[in-house]
Amino acid sequence: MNVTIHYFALLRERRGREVEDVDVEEGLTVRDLFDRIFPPEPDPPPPVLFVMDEEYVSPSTPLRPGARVGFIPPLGGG
Amino acid sequence: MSHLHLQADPLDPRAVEARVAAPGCGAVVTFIGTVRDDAKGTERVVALEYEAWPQMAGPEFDRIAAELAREWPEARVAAVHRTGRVAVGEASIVISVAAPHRVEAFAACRACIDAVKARLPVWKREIRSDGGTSWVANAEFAPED
Repeated sequence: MNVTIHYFALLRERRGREVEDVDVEEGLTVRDLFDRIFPPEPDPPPPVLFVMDEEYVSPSTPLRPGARVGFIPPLGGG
Repeated sequence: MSHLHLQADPLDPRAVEARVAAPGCGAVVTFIGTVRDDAKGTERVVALEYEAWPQMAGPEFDRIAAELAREWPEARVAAVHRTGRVAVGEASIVISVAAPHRVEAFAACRACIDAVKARLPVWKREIRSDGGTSWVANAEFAPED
Protein backbone atom coordinates (compact mmCIF):
# COMPACT_ATOMS: atom_id res chain seq x y z
CA MET A 1 0.00 0.00 0.00
CA ASN A 2 1.04 3.58 -0.61
CA VAL A 3 1.61 6.30 1.98
CA THR A 4 2.90 9.85 1.66
CA ILE A 5 5.63 11.06 4.03
CA HIS A 6 6.26 14.72 4.85
CA TYR A 7 9.64 15.84 6.16
CA PHE A 8 10.43 19.04 8.05
CA ALA A 9 13.37 21.05 9.34
CA LEU A 10 16.43 18.91 10.01
CA LEU A 11 14.74 15.71 8.83
CA ARG A 12 13.93 17.40 5.50
CA GLU A 13 17.57 18.40 5.17
CA ARG A 14 18.72 14.94 6.13
CA ARG A 15 16.37 13.19 3.71
CA GLY A 16 16.97 15.77 0.97
CA ARG A 17 13.28 16.15 0.11
CA GLU A 18 10.05 17.56 1.51
CA VAL A 19 7.68 14.78 0.59
CA GLU A 20 7.74 11.30 -0.91
CA ASP A 21 5.39 8.44 -1.67
CA VAL A 22 6.47 5.03 -0.46
CA ASP A 23 5.06 1.56 -0.96
CA VAL A 24 4.91 -0.43 2.29
CA GLU A 25 3.46 -3.71 3.49
CA GLU A 26 0.30 -3.95 5.62
CA GLY A 27 0.77 -3.94 9.39
CA LEU A 28 3.70 -1.56 9.49
CA THR A 29 3.49 1.07 12.26
CA VAL A 30 4.49 4.71 11.89
CA ARG A 31 7.49 3.99 14.15
CA ASP A 32 8.51 1.03 11.94
CA LEU A 33 8.41 3.28 8.88
CA PHE A 34 10.48 5.94 10.61
CA ASP A 35 13.11 3.42 11.73
CA ARG A 36 13.30 2.07 8.19
CA ILE A 37 14.00 5.52 6.74
CA PHE A 38 16.14 6.83 9.59
CA PRO A 39 17.89 3.79 11.10
CA PRO A 40 19.10 4.30 14.69
CA GLU A 41 22.62 3.31 13.60
CA PRO A 42 25.11 4.68 12.76
CA ASP A 43 23.70 8.23 12.85
CA PRO A 44 20.80 8.37 15.35
CA PRO A 45 17.92 10.62 14.30
CA PRO A 46 16.45 13.22 16.69
CA PRO A 47 13.45 12.35 18.89
CA VAL A 48 10.22 12.67 16.90
CA LEU A 49 6.46 12.86 17.27
CA PHE A 50 4.30 11.00 14.75
CA VAL A 51 1.45 12.42 12.71
CA MET A 52 -1.08 10.65 10.53
CA ASP A 53 -3.62 12.64 8.52
CA GLU A 54 -2.83 15.90 10.36
CA GLU A 55 -3.21 14.45 13.88
CA TYR A 56 -0.66 13.22 16.40
CA VAL A 57 -0.74 9.45 16.81
CA SER A 58 1.12 7.00 19.04
CA PRO A 59 4.28 5.40 17.61
CA SER A 60 2.52 2.00 17.50
CA THR A 61 -0.28 3.20 15.19
CA PRO A 62 -0.55 0.99 12.08
CA LEU A 63 -0.25 2.81 8.75
CA ARG A 64 -3.43 3.16 6.71
CA PRO A 65 -3.50 2.95 2.92
CA GLY A 66 -3.14 6.44 1.49
CA ALA A 67 -2.14 7.96 4.85
CA ARG A 68 -0.38 11.30 5.03
CA VAL A 69 2.44 10.69 7.50
CA GLY A 70 4.48 13.40 9.20
CA PHE A 71 7.65 12.86 11.21
CA ILE A 72 7.88 15.79 13.61
CA PRO A 73 11.41 16.62 14.75
CA PRO A 74 12.01 18.87 17.79
CA LEU A 75 9.59 21.79 17.59
CA GLY A 76 10.47 25.48 17.81
CA GLY A 77 7.17 27.35 17.58
CA GLY A 78 6.11 30.20 19.82
CA MET B 1 -12.11 29.32 10.13
CA SER B 2 -9.12 28.44 12.27
CA HIS B 3 -8.23 30.38 15.39
CA LEU B 4 -4.66 30.52 14.06
CA HIS B 5 -3.19 32.61 11.26
CA LEU B 6 0.27 32.04 9.82
CA GLN B 7 1.85 35.03 8.11
CA ALA B 8 5.19 36.15 6.73
CA ASP B 9 4.52 39.83 7.46
CA PRO B 10 5.12 41.56 10.83
CA LEU B 11 2.45 40.88 13.45
CA ASP B 12 -0.09 43.37 14.74
CA PRO B 13 -1.12 42.52 18.33
CA ARG B 14 -4.06 44.97 18.22
CA ALA B 15 -5.53 43.07 15.27
CA VAL B 16 -5.37 39.77 17.21
CA GLU B 17 -7.01 41.39 20.25
CA ALA B 18 -9.78 42.73 18.04
CA ARG B 19 -10.61 39.16 16.97
CA VAL B 20 -11.31 38.03 20.56
CA ALA B 21 -12.82 41.17 22.11
CA ALA B 22 -16.50 40.82 23.04
CA PRO B 23 -19.00 42.83 25.08
CA GLY B 24 -19.14 40.18 27.81
CA CYS B 25 -15.37 40.07 28.26
CA GLY B 26 -13.81 42.29 30.91
CA ALA B 27 -10.26 41.06 30.38
CA VAL B 28 -7.98 40.61 27.39
CA VAL B 29 -4.55 39.02 27.96
CA THR B 30 -2.07 39.12 25.10
CA PHE B 31 1.18 37.16 25.00
CA ILE B 32 3.80 38.43 22.54
CA GLY B 33 6.78 36.16 21.94
CA THR B 34 9.75 38.09 20.59
CA VAL B 35 13.07 37.03 19.09
CA ARG B 36 15.90 37.63 21.53
CA ASP B 37 19.58 38.29 21.02
CA ASP B 38 20.73 34.97 22.45
CA ALA B 39 24.50 34.89 22.93
CA LYS B 40 26.19 31.56 22.18
CA GLY B 41 29.91 31.98 22.74
CA THR B 42 31.04 35.06 20.84
CA GLU B 43 28.28 34.98 18.22
CA ARG B 44 24.91 36.68 18.62
CA VAL B 45 21.61 35.51 17.19
CA VAL B 46 20.51 38.08 14.62
CA ALA B 47 17.29 36.40 13.50
CA LEU B 48 15.19 33.26 13.68
CA GLU B 49 13.78 31.56 10.60
CA TYR B 50 10.42 29.86 11.15
CA GLU B 51 8.99 27.02 9.09
CA ALA B 52 5.44 25.76 9.58
CA TRP B 53 3.34 22.86 8.32
CA PRO B 54 0.21 24.86 7.49
CA GLN B 55 -2.00 21.83 6.71
CA MET B 56 -1.57 20.65 10.31
CA ALA B 57 -0.87 23.87 12.23
CA GLY B 58 -4.42 25.18 11.80
CA PRO B 59 -6.15 21.95 12.89
CA GLU B 60 -3.71 21.44 15.79
CA PHE B 61 -4.26 24.96 17.09
CA ASP B 62 -8.02 24.38 16.86
CA ARG B 63 -7.58 21.24 18.98
CA ILE B 64 -5.61 23.30 21.53
CA ALA B 65 -8.39 25.92 21.51
CA ALA B 66 -11.01 23.20 22.05
CA GLU B 67 -9.07 21.88 25.07
CA LEU B 68 -8.87 25.40 26.49
CA ALA B 69 -12.61 25.79 25.94
CA ARG B 70 -13.30 22.71 28.05
CA GLU B 71 -11.39 24.21 30.99
CA TRP B 72 -12.34 27.86 30.44
CA PRO B 73 -15.65 27.75 28.50
CA GLU B 74 -16.02 31.52 28.31
CA ALA B 75 -12.48 32.26 27.07
CA ARG B 76 -12.05 33.36 23.45
CA VAL B 77 -8.63 32.69 21.89
CA ALA B 78 -6.85 33.76 18.72
CA ALA B 79 -3.23 33.61 17.62
CA VAL B 80 -0.98 34.58 14.77
CA HIS B 81 2.48 33.11 14.12
CA ARG B 82 5.21 34.48 11.87
CA THR B 83 6.86 32.36 9.21
CA GLY B 84 10.15 32.99 7.47
CA ARG B 85 12.90 35.23 8.82
CA VAL B 86 12.11 37.21 11.99
CA ALA B 87 14.70 39.72 13.24
CA VAL B 88 15.74 40.21 16.87
CA GLY B 89 13.15 42.32 18.67
CA GLU B 90 10.30 41.40 16.33
CA ALA B 91 7.33 39.31 17.43
CA SER B 92 7.21 35.66 16.35
CA ILE B 93 3.82 34.95 17.94
CA VAL B 94 0.87 36.84 19.36
CA ILE B 95 -1.79 35.05 21.42
CA SER B 96 -4.81 36.94 22.71
CA VAL B 97 -7.37 35.56 25.13
CA ALA B 98 -10.51 37.41 26.14
CA ALA B 99 -12.65 36.28 29.07
CA PRO B 100 -15.20 37.74 31.45
CA HIS B 101 -12.53 38.03 34.18
CA ARG B 102 -8.75 38.32 34.34
CA VAL B 103 -8.07 35.07 36.23
CA GLU B 104 -9.30 32.82 33.43
CA ALA B 105 -7.82 35.07 30.74
CA PHE B 106 -4.32 34.83 32.25
CA ALA B 107 -4.62 31.08 32.89
CA ALA B 108 -5.92 30.24 29.42
CA CYS B 109 -3.28 32.38 27.72
CA ARG B 110 -0.51 30.66 29.70
CA ALA B 111 -1.90 27.22 28.90
CA CYS B 112 -2.16 28.18 25.23
CA ILE B 113 1.46 29.25 24.76
CA ASP B 114 2.67 26.17 26.68
CA ALA B 115 0.66 23.91 24.37
CA VAL B 116 1.83 25.78 21.27
CA LYS B 117 5.46 25.25 22.24
CA ALA B 118 4.90 21.54 22.81
CA ARG B 119 2.62 20.72 19.87
CA LEU B 120 2.26 23.29 17.09
CA PRO B 121 4.07 22.01 13.97
CA VAL B 122 6.47 24.93 13.64
CA TRP B 123 10.27 24.82 13.58
CA LYS B 124 12.92 27.48 13.97
CA ARG B 125 16.50 27.90 12.91
CA GLU B 126 18.70 30.52 14.54
CA ILE B 127 20.85 32.68 12.32
CA ARG B 128 23.98 33.99 14.02
CA SER B 129 26.13 37.05 13.39
CA ASP B 130 28.84 34.91 11.74
CA GLY B 131 26.28 33.52 9.28
CA GLY B 132 26.08 30.12 11.01
CA THR B 133 22.68 28.50 11.51
CA SER B 134 21.23 25.72 13.64
CA TRP B 135 17.80 24.27 14.40
CA VAL B 136 16.59 25.10 17.91
CA ALA B 137 14.24 22.95 19.99
CA ASN B 138 11.69 24.09 22.56
CA ALA B 139 12.18 22.64 26.04
CA GLU B 140 8.48 21.69 25.95
CA PHE B 141 8.99 19.22 23.08
CA ALA B 142 8.70 15.81 24.75
CA PRO B 143 8.04 12.64 22.75
CA GLU B 144 6.71 9.83 24.92
CA ASP B 145 9.43 7.32 24.03
